[in-house]
Amino acid sequence: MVTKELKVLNESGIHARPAASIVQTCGKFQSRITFTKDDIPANAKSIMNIMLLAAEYGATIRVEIEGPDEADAMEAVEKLFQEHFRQG
Amino acid sequence: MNGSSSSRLIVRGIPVSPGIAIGPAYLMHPERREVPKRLIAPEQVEAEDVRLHRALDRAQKEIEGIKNRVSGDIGDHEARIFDSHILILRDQEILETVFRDIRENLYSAEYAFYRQMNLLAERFDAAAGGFLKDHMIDLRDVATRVIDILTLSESSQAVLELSDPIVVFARSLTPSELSQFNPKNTLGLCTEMGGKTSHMAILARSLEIPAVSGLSWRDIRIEPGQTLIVDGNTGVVILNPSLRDIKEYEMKWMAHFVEEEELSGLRDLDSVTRDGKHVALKANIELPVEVENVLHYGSDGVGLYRSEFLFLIRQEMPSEEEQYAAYRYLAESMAPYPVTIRTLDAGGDKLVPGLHITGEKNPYMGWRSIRVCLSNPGIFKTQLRAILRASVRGNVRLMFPMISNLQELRDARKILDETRSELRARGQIFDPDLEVGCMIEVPAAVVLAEELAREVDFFSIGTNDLTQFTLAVDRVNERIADLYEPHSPAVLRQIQTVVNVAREQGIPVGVCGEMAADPYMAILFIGMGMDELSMSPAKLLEMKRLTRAVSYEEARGCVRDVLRLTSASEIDRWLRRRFQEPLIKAGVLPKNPISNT
Repeated sequence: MVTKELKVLNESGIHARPAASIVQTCGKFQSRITFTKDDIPANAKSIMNIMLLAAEYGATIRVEIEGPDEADAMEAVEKLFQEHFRQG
Repeated sequence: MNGSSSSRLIVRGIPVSPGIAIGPAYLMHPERREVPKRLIAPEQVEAEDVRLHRALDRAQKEIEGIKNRVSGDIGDHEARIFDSHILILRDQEILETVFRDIRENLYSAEYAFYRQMNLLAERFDAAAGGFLKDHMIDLRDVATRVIDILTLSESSQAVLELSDPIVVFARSLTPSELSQFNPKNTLGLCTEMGGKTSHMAILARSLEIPAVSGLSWRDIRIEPGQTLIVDGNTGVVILNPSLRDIKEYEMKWMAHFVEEEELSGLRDLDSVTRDGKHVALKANIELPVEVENVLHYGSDGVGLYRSEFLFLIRQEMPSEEEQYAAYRYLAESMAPYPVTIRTLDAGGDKLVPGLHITGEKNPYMGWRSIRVCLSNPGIFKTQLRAILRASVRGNVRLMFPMISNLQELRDARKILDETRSELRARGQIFDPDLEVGCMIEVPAAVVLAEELAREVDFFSIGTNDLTQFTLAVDRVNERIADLYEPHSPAVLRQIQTVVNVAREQGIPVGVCGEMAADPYMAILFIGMGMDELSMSPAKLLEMKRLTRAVSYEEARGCVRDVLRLTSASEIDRWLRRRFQEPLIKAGVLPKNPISNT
């Protein structure tokens, strides 16, 4: 299992469109991917789970990934956070 | 209301998109979406599973179709929200629960889905800081679609094939709902919610679909397929019209049609008065796609591009590249004619998601417009960079809204200078001589006009705000609607002051706002020496006909007399007495001016 803490860097937080980017990216991997904020875990392949985290700008998300492609998945997730979830 | 559903009924709403529509009603939301709890027999579970799977497939297909249409009509960015809708539809966590409810609790597919969506809506509502409030509509959009597929397919609604021409009747319309109708077959729209600046209204206007909003559903009982007349010019809606009503409105519709044909002969003529004074007639637009209308009607440019609509129709700030693409498209499409881009004018009734969070007690005098930009230099600079970059693609002018003192103007110009340096450092080109103007819409700016004029290249007078601030009348408060008098001498004398100052200081001045398209006011403005009038594209040809019919010298002679009058009603009477006959003769006013209030 790999674990990392990542910060939400886009101004408007993880609302519908960033959440869609996350689910689309995570859906490509076999591993189980969990985002945890304020002790609430969310399945990163469920857009509802992700949106309900209500993660605003600056929030810290603990990312846990477990499975055969966990290293690649973590790399992709980190990139997504850095790129502000590709919201431009 | 005890009227039977087949009797004739006239109701009044707010006209939000002009034109006349006559056709059968299509009801979007016949009643509140309450899905009753229905249990199935254990042996039906498998069939219910299949039914839900099919509904989900069909919903996905519909959403994909809308997504493609929106990305073609409006832009990829707007279309991306539909990716979220598809993911909501396919969310495994939700579907597992729904299918379990069908299997274990023997709920019908629609009830199981409805129940789950309601639970989610409650959690959305409770999410910290109202963070997900704006997304309730997305959840509703998905839920309604699936439930509709599961429940409405066998109802009376199916009588109306969507390929037939219809008048859509809805409580409210989300952009996705509106875009699922074929504009060619959508004759008109009636809604309960949504004012002139709602997304529904903006889309209706850009698609040229007549629309009326603000109708109360409690007063209206209508069955699918019943005939409706929608008059988007006056806000009148007639349910079950008599044959006479239909004839009358068909005549109105025809008259408008004939007039359009006649007016289009004017398109390529110059906008000059009888005695040769040029008055630029320009368009006010909200969406880049409206450029097509502007070109269709012919104009001297875009006098006001309300850039905030780029910000209002989405959940997050548009990036520099997206803004640049929109501004560049405008500049290139209109070249060589000028396009005046007004910087973000958010606040008041135009709240930008992600920027405005809490409601203000007095929003029109609150944190809005240039004030928002000056306290968010990041957002402001992003927009200014995009405008500057687009300036080399055509003839672009930049305009700051709601300036109320010199310092604001200087601060805005300082940020503009910083932005120029940043672009230079990035090696990006822009027009170094970009004209920078400001709006005069606060009485303080009228008083300080001389000082402001020395620091800008042009003025544009915003009559709506100037009227509301001068008269201290909230223009959306219906109880004082009769006090909102744009023709008040207090407003008109200020406008004359601004024109005089602009003359002395040698800068051009124009009017953008509803008043510019009022025939009597337009005569007055021409007489005052206004250089340009900017209005909605549909009014351009009518106003060109007017401009060509009046004499500048004659209008100038009237201004002094009019400004001496002491009330709006005296001014109206005076202007009507003097100009009604000539305007009817010139074909600017209808021969039988009953509808001209």
